[in-house]
Amino acid sequence: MKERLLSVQNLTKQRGSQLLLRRVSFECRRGEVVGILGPQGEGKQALFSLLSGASFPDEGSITLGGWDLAARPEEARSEAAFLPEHPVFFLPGEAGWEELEFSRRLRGTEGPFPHGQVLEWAGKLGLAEKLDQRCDRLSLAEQKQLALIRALAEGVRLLVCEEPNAGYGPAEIRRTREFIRACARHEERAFLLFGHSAAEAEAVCDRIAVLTDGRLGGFRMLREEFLPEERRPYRISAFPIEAARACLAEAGLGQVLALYGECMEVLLTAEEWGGLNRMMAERGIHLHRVEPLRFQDEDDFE
Amino acid sequence: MNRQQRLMKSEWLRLRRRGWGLFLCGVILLSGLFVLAGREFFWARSMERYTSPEALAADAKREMERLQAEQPEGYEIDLEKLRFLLEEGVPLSEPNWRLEAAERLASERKQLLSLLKNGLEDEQELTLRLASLGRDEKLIRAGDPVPYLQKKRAEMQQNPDLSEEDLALALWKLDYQLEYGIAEEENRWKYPVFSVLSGNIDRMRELERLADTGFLDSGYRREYRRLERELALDCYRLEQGRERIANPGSADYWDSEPFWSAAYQIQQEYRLPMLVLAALCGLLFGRDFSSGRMALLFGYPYRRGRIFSARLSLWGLLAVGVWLLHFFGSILAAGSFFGFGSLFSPALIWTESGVRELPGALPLLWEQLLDFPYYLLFGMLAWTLTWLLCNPWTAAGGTAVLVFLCKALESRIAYAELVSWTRVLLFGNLELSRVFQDNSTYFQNPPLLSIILLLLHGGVLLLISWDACVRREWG
Repeated sequence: MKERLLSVQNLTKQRGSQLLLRRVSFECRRGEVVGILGPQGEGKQALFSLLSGASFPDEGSITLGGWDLAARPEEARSEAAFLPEHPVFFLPGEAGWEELEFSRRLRGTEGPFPHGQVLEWAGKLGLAEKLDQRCDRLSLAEQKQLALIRALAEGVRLLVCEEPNAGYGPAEIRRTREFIRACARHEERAFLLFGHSAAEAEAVCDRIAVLTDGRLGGFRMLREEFLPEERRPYRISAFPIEAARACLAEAGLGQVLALYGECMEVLLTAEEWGGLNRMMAERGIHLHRVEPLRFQDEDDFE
Repeated sequence: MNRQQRLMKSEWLRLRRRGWGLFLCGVILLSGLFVLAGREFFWARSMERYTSPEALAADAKREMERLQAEQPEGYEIDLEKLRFLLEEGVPLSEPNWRLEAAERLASERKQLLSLLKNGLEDEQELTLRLASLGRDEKLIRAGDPVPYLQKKRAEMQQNPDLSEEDLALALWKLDYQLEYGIAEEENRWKYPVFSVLSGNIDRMRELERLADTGFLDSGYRREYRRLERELALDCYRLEQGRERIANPGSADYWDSEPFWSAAYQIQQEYRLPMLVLAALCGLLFGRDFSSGRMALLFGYPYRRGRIFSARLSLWGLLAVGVWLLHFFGSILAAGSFFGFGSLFSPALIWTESGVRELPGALPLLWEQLLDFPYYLLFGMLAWTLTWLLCNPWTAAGGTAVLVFLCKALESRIAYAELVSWTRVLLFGNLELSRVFQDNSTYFQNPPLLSIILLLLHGGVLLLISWDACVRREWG
């Protein structure tokens, strides 16, 4: 099983009388591209703010790279970079190269500046000739691409991007999509993408879930390639679901992908499923429904 | 390099990119100092015009014309005195023995004239006094102070009207003048100093008499201590022959070099560094709040408290820079107008063990050190408002308005003499340099109270800004 880079458990956020997030739980593993979709005002921005440390949760916990964000914020944040919808630069009046070097130094990334690697990334994104230009004179799309390269050059393993394709033309969307997938696959980086276009998300993500009224729906698996061969995904509907989850934890079975309402999505082997089924029966947990999850076909761009 | 150092270095690198802003702050700061120094210079020049030998001679001639035209009682005596002063070229702009002797001679002649008009009975005494005044005139005309002072000494000793104490004091003054060549032509700088010293001794005697009657309150005690200090400094100066001294805080213009007086004056008057410190908060953060850069920074591996302390430390370093610029700028500006000739003049400092000579810049440095916490406090106010309002320019403007409001309120309160409780409010009791000089708006301020108040003000502002940084939500 790949290393878990982000784990969000029962995250709740309230502002005034409005409940922005309701017990949101999910996780993100190495090499995985996870998408969280939803229309505006449904809680994406609140979730992004909580992850980036701009605001604080009322309940729940966030673990980044194995570090609890509340208890060890510095260690936790060293694993992740946050790319807001409107890119922000530390040195907007300077050349892209300056910004990249500055932010890498600020993050404290060790080793020499990966000049060749940056040129390669920039080349893939069509930005190679723009790195000498002032950051604030680049187009919005170019600025977003520069921010993406900045995060990669900083050496973080998890990139949390807000509306990664907003402001892009078709060619840029395609280039960025390919770039993210290549980074995830070949460099083992994880991406958590916030957006509102299901088509775009499906084209790039391994799993997507919809955030509606602060509630995170079940993850839809789009690609199998990240799953261990012996385990298959199941959607289990049971009552009480927390008791069913406790069974899983107690027996050390499977991996919970998502938890929502009375359902949970779990990766299980056939043997584990048998064991879980027995335990639930013994404890009187009412099993409503079990269905295997299906994946979409790989996109043509791969 | 640890996280704190790394963050501070990054912040500094970012700030350095806005070098033009720092440069502009420096230029504004220095320009203000030069404007003030220029004002001091032109004020001194205009004073020189009014007190120049030509101007004073013209004044004396006008006075002579007036006396001749109006012919008041005893005008011939005054006319003769003025004629003598002009003919002999006696300097009228500063105290000297011949000027004072001529004044005294004229006064005694008028006194005698008045006695004659009122019918002086003793003819022998009249003859004696006339003869004595004639001898005085001859001695003054001769221009040698020693015989004149010796004659005065002898007269004092024969004066039965003087008490034992007064006689001893008068004799001491005359002996002192004779011993240290105070009135000698080659020591012209000494007489004005002696003149002040003599006045201070008389005032001290007056205060001692008040103390004997039990009317000496703490204000008078402080004045007595100040007079004691000044007496010790003046004696040291006269005895050691220190003509050029820095002592920038001195009240008497001939006591210190114009260069140091000007440097001290502009350093004391200049309040722009407070606003520059407030503006530096703006320069440090710039548009970080509105551009989203602050939120971006919070996503980096630094605790908010660390970001806060790194920025505060950086601002503190810049404040030290402003302070140094203010200090050296004051000297540079004063020297540009008055010349650097007395740059190495010593400053005389009174201590319990006696008078000591220190480099001239040290008293200025000390005054500025005392001013610095007050400047920092207003900078802290701007810093706190910046975090609270998330707009550094509004914060800087707000600080400026608060500074002037506080000053205006302070004046009103001091005017209304509602001083008992307001001293702990309104930043009114925090100017340590004024408190140490016992010259603050509020009477009888112990410096310790001001130091505690400074710490309290600073602590409260720091806590508020810390809270605004660490607990605020930016999403």
